[in-house]
Amino acid sequence: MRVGLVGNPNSGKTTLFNELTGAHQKVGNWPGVTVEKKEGMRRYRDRDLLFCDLPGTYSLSAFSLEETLVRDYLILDPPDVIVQVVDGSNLERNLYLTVQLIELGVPLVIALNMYDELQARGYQLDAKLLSELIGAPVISTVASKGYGTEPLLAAVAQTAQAGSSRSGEIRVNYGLELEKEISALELWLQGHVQNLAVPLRWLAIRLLEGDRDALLKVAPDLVGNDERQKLLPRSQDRLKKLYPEGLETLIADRRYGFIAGALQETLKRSIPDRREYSEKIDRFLTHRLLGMPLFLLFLWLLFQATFRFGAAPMGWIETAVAWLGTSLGGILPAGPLNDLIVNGIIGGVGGVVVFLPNILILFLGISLLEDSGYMARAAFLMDKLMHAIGLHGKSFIPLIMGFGCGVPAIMATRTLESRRDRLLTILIIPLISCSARLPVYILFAGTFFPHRAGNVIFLLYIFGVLMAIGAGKLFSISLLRAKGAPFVMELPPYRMPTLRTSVRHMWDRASQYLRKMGTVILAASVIVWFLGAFPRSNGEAPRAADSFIGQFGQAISPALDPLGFNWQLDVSLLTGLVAKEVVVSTMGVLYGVGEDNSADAHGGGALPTALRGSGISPLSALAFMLFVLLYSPCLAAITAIWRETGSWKWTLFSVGYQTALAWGIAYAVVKIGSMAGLGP
Amino acid sequence: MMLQWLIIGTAVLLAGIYLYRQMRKTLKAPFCSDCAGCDTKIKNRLNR
Repeated sequence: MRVGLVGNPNSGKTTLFNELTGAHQKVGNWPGVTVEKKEGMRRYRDRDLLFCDLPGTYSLSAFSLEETLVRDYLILDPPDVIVQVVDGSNLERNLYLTVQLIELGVPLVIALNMYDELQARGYQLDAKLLSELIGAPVISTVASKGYGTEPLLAAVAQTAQAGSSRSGEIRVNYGLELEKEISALELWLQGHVQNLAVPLRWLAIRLLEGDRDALLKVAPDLVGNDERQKLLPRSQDRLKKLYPEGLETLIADRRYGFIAGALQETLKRSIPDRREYSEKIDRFLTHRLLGMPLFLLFLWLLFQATFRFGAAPMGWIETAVAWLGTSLGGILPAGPLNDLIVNGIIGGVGGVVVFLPNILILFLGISLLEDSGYMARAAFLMDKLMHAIGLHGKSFIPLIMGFGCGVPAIMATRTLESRRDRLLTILIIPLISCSARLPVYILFAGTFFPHRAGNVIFLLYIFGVLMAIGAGKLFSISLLRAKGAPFVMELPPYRMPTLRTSVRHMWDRASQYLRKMGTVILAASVIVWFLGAFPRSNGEAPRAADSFIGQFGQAISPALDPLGFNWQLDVSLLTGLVAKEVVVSTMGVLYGVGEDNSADAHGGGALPTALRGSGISPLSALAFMLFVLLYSPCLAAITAIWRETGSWKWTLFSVGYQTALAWGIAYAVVKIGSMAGLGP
Repeated sequence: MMLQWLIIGTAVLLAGIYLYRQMRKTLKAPFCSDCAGCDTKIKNRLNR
């Protein structure tokens, strides 16, 4: 049995989907997290329920990509039951979609989510009465705490068994004049189409609203029908004369009237009015002058915590890795296999796995910011900056997702309506530092700037954002000229993040990181070791510089020599195109640190010690971090760019401009730093 | 020593094949590889 989950953006669909199916889809307290359909199974009373999580949408009007996707899914591939997730803290707006679903006549169940927030604000909703008024079961849920899922599943099963809900019997009264035109169109449609998948009334209203696409989807034969082409404009003209404010406004007003009426009867306030606590907090957090410094302060604290709190567990893992290397090195007979396991595998994988605590702390912080609703405020604060580069605040959501991984961020640009906005956002997303680059920063900042590592990492992230804004501005006045569209940024109420969600975020992140260690990083480390151990002369391993990888590194080093990088760094940058963590694992292998558990006077593990001893200056280390921040995205991100832009030209441009920018910035840092006497 | 080289050869071959297949998979559908936004347990139906 198929069950579709629909609802407004940020109403908690994905949280409910995860709760119902046991999946681990990304959840964030901001709109636009789900950009495509996702499916998951749940067994309930000997029935398999296939849940489909659809993108968030405010209506079924087909003005945006999400609206079109959801509407097409409902009319062309209708599931057995639709569950509309309604945000209890924003009933009026959410019920607008309910009205459209009622008109579509689908078997409907309402999950009144975040019911606890509605109660916390002093409201009581008569769910039973509301069910009767809208003709569909209304079940109170709190998805983040797993509350209400059993009754919801029971309602779904019951509705599926009945084959329909009573919603089809409920009618919104659009007023005498409009109803006359709707009836006339209905009558005409009845005589011209058979076996229509949608109610005639729904199609008639859609046609009056000017939705030609709906007709194309459900009754393509009527598109070129002469009679319809005369009838419809006549109706529309007559109504436009009667209602100069426009038909869309009129229809929306009537629907909101229906909602207001339903809420009047069912929603009661149980405690006296009080100022919303969210508004009170917002007075500070989105303040015109204080907002941005506070945002920067939160980010700074996050990176300080990432580095400082991560240092101790990182040291434990480092010790464990070194112990493993030394022990295995002692047990295995000396020879190439010993070298592969100790220097190749343990050196490579162990070099990256030590950063797991830092990654977890960073993502715990990001998860808290997201789930509390603060990230949506950050988007609101950034709206002005976005406008400055000719984008609107909606582009900020994919950009923020870029802090995690560029691939879903690039995919999330599908929520933007214009191709030009999508393209511009895709071009600047890779400049936002993804989490895979964090191990490189922690390694280099910790090695070369041990007392200011948190500050250095914070500044790198900010620099990435500034570069993205700068590049965006440049493109918007040259290659992609246009004005940004206005956008109302939604500010969800603040919510106390739950331990359950935060732990789940961290667990997902940890398992993903470890999975990557055991797959891509492991395989890349073996290959890098192999290329570093051959060609052999008289059965002996070559000097590092004479190995295949050494020769290759020296061949490309002229291009990067001006930046003060050695050939090991050059090679790492290239292998990092597979995945950015491979930059560190490659260094682990090339510096042969698997069995080296030495630490110098500065402390830290074997790789930092080897790096300090390799002649890299702090200035070059800074240039290297900037290069890693800005240069070409990884293979997965490049492919995502190609798929989303549908153009090799833009894909190559993205890779090319970023690499050129990375080189230019790194060179400028080295030159200016040298002139200022900060190092060679 | 022969056994050591045999194990190394197999490991390198397997690593090479894995990386090649992973790259090919990534080129086909970057979302289903190992990026942060995807869970392999979930069937992703792309918006065709």
